[in-house]
Amino acid sequence: MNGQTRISWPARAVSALLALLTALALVVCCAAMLAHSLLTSTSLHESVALDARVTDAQMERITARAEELAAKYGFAPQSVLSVVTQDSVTAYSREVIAWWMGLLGDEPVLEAPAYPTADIEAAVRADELFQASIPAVQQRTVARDSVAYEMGRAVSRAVLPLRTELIALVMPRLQERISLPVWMNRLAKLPLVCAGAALGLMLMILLLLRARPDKAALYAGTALAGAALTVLGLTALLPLLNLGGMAAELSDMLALQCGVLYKGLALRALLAALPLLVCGYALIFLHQRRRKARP
Amino acid sequence: MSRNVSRPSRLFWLTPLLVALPLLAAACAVAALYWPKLCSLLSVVMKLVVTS
Repeated sequence: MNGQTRISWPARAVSALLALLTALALVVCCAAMLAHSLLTSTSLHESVALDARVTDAQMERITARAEELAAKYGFAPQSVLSVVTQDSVTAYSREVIAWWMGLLGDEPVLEAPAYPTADIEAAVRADELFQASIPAVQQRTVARDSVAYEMGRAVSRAVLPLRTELIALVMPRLQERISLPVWMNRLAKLPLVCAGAALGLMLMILLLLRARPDKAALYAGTALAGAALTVLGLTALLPLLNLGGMAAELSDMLALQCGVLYKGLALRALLAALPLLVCGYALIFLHQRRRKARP
Repeated sequence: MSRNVSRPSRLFWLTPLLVALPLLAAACAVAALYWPKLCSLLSVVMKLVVTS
C-alpha cells in the first residue's frame, strides 16, 4: 500500500470526459472572443489599415491611377498626389472602419463614407498643364467627373475593395430578418458563459476526485493546456482553408489585408491561449511534483 | 523507517495532447465535411462583393 486512495475506473472515465468538455468550453470561449474582436474591435481593423505594407500598396495603387488619369487628361500627377496624401488616406481609412463597425450597431449608417473630392477637383483645375490641355468650358466637368470622382473611387477601392453599395442594399433586409445588435450582445456574453461552464466542470472534477487532489489537478491542467494547444493548432491550421488565395483571385489588396488581419487574429489567439497553457502546465506540475511513496 | 520515493511518469506532461488531438481531429473532420460547400458559397458571395 502506498497510502494514497486509488481512483476507480468509472471515476477516471468521468473525469476524462469532464476534462474534454472543459477543453471544448474553453476552445469555444476563445473562438467567441476572437469572433467578437473581429466584428467589433476597431483597434484590430486599424492595425490592418495602418500596416505599412497595406498603406504602401494603397499609395502605389493611388499613384498609378493618378498617373493614368494625368496622362489621359494632361495634368501633372503631383497636383493630385499633393492632395491625396497618406495622411488623408489614413484619415479616410479610420472613417471607413467606424462605418464598418457601425453596421453591426443599433443605428447603422448604410451609405459608406466617400473620400472628399472637392480638393482634388480644385487642385486639378489650378494645374497649368490641365488648363492648357482642356478647353476652358470643359475644365470644371472634366476635373470633377473624370478626375476627382475617379480618384475618389480609386482611394475608396484601395481602402476597402468591396462593393459597399451592395452591402448597403443587403443590410436592411438582413436587419429585417435578424436583430444584429441582439446577436452581437449574445456573442459578447458567450465567452463569459463558456468560461463559467469550464469553471463549473473543473469544480466537478475536483469534487469527483476530492480524495486525490493531485489527480484533480492533473485532469484540470490537462483540460486547460489541451484547450490552449487546440486553439494554437486551429490558428496554425486556418491558412489551409486558403481564404487568402480566394481573396487574391479577386483582389490583391484584399488578400494583403486578409493576411495582415490573420496575423492580428493569430496574435490575439496566442495571447488568449498562453494563460491557459501556463495555468494548465502549472497544475500538471503540481501533480508531477508530488512524490509517490513506496513501501 | 526508510521509504523509497519515485516521481510520477514523465508521460503525464503529454496528457494535454490527449485532449488537443481529438478536438483538432474533430475540427478537421467538420471542416473536411462542410468546407467545400461553404467555400463555393463564399466564392460566389466574394465574386459579387469584392472589387478588383
